[in-house]
Amino acid sequence: MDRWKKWKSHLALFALVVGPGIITANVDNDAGGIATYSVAGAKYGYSLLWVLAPTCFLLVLVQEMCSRMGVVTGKGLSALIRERFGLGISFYLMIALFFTNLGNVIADFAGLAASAEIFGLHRWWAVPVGAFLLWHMVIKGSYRTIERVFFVACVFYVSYLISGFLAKPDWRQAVHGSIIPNTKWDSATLYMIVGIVGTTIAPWMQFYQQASVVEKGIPLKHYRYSQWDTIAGAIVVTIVCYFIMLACAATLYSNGISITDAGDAAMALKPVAGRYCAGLFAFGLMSASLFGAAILPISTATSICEAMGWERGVNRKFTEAPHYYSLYTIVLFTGAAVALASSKAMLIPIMIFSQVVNGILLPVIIFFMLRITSDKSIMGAHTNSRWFNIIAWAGAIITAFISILMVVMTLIQ
Amino acid sequence: MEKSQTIIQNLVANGLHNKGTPVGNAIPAVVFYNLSDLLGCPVRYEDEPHPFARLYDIGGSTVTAYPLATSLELTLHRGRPHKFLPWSVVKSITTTETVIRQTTEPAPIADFWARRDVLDDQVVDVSGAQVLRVNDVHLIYSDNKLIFGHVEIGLRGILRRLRFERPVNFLTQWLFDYTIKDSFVTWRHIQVMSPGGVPGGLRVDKLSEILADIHPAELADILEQLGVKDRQALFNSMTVETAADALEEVTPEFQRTLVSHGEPGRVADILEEMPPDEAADVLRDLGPDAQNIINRMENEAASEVQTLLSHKEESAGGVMDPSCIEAQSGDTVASVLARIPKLTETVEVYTLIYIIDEKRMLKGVLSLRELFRAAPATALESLVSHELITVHPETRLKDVAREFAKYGFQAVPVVNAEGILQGVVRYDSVLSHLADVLND
Repeated sequence: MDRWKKWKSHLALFALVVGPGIITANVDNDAGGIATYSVAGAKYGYSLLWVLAPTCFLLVLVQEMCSRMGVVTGKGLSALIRERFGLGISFYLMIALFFTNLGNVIADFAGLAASAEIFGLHRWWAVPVGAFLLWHMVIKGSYRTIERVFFVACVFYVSYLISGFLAKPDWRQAVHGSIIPNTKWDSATLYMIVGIVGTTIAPWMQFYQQASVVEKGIPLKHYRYSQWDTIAGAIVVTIVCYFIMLACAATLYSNGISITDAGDAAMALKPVAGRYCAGLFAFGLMSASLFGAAILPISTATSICEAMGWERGVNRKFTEAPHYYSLYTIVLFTGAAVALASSKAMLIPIMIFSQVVNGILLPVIIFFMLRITSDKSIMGAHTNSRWFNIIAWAGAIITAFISILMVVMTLIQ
Repeated sequence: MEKSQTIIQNLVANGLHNKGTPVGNAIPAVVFYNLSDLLGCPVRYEDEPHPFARLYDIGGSTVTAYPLATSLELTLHRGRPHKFLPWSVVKSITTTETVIRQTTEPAPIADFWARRDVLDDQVVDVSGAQVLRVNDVHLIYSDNKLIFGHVEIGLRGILRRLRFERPVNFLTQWLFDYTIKDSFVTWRHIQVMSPGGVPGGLRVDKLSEILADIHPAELADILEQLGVKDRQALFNSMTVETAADALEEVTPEFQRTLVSHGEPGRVADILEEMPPDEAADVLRDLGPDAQNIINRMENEAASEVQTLLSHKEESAGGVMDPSCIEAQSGDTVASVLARIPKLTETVEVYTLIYIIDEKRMLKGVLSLRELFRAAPATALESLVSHELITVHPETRLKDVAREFAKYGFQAVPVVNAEGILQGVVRYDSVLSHLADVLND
């Protein structure tokens, strides 16, 4: 009875704090992410599943620092960077963030168009309507409403789990592939691994998670529940990735079908895995695309306004925060317009550009984060412990190395 | 010092147009500098030709409304600790070099440091009731004193520091015949939020008075935009009354942080100042910490809050105000009217008088207007209308709202199953709860 009571109070406090970690991690599985995991599954079958566990660990490592900074300082990451490193650095960082986020939004609207067409909706209909709905929701809504909508949207990822089961994977091989790195080490494989890590840990996530931790006003006392939130988010996102790769491995890989993006994957699943599996896959893609296209523009506007000292926040009116809403609107509608106007061939250089900026930006941001989280005057008693710092620097160097590798390989290809 | 303060006041009043250039004739009497132009400039001793350090930061004292520079922080060669010097060593300061005298005098402790605490940081503008991020600081150099005049908050400060001012100005001039203007706030209105969590900038004893004059909704806005330490420091420098008003206006998320970071005794005092239903709302989101605070509240306030907390949030019992004006049916109009002025201190709904019997059963309701119009000696009994609209503690707020819409009351009484008066639900508390629902 007493233990139950204790659990109940833990759960109640967790319920107050949960959100930022899970939402951030799930948005991470946006159209670009799903494309990468699908291609990995289709091309390499079960053999790359082992990459996911260490990626999950790196994700927790990076995101935990953000939510800790958010809870301890009550300030967003871009505000902290401006205060600690000055205006010049923040300004150029924000320009880079703007373009890489815009690239992600374009990818999301392209994903929305592709999934809508699978369901027989024309892209010229689906994309404008989707963009306008998202815009309206943010202009008229409050943060709490939007968080609730996003929370519900997270549930839609279950469709990937179901489609993973419907694809009838070979579980013995799957378990084998998840534990033992039995991979041919050539440059194409390396590029794929780098791609998986690179889409899973993206710069906007650090800004977004920290900002939503701040907006949620999580007190320091409850920080440990926030840690659970971060870990839960990373685990959920990894499970979803796992099942996407599984579905594609079980069907496309074993039948030797090659694909280039997530829309392809859904189409290709139909003849080999059945209508329901393909339908669920496409539905997952659609909700993921909408989800990403909703959050990334908000995150972009929040980060930039915070760095520049402009009024911000979904809870304000347009006239109260004109810079915020202008930035939000520009990113959202530019993303939608570019995705609509470009053919698939035109999108590829845009995506490459965005990934390159992404890859350069991430190590820089992780470096700043480590500097800030080690600074006693900012973090007080909550600086990184020595062991954490050793692990975090190692993890950061690996992540930085991988993202730079990705830039180099993308440019070579 | 008095003289320079008046000079500044006049300059501020007339606006600043030509910063960085001397004002006046041959001998520059007053020079304006941007902090960003001074920082990083070389520093040399008067008897040596070569600089030995760079200017890193300038410390100020907040004794006057426009602070005077009191200390310098210099960076020597790489890896060496920074050097601190008193302002009195400065022989001259320009954007190209600073010349100083040798000294053994120690640097005084500065109230704030311009680079560390102001530039790129958040400050509070107490007259405009807003939080600002500082893009630059305007300094006035006169009579070998350096005075903090304004903080620059606009686009022009950003452009200047990024070295884009000229090209952008050329463009806007050429395209729209427009020059981007300065936008700055005079230092008199600026509250520096120090990283140590100690508010400097203004004299601290006056701060609570200044804060008390700001509208609670604006205070709430300021609190929500600050970081944890600054927010708590500002909240702690408010009087209990101001803090209670501000806390009411803050979003539930920030109520929770403010309260759980606060010292429980003070939080209990603040909650006592708030209407009980608002206080209960704050405590409801607090989890196990709530009890700790309730234990420190006065008995009466604590038991009122406890009662509210025992009801569901979305019910009449969860939002009701336990205090209202009660009278017996035998009381005369005069005796009730005599009691009311004193009761207005603690009772929110003072225009309605609730008639109860000795078992506290609700018998009727009278308005203040009816009392005024009746003869002073009349017993309340004869005035009471017997049609009585009441709700139960379990009644859902939606249904309470319907009663309000139908009858247009200010407040509706809450009675339990036996008809005993529990409290009243105010119109505004239903409205604020419904507003939350509408926002969702």
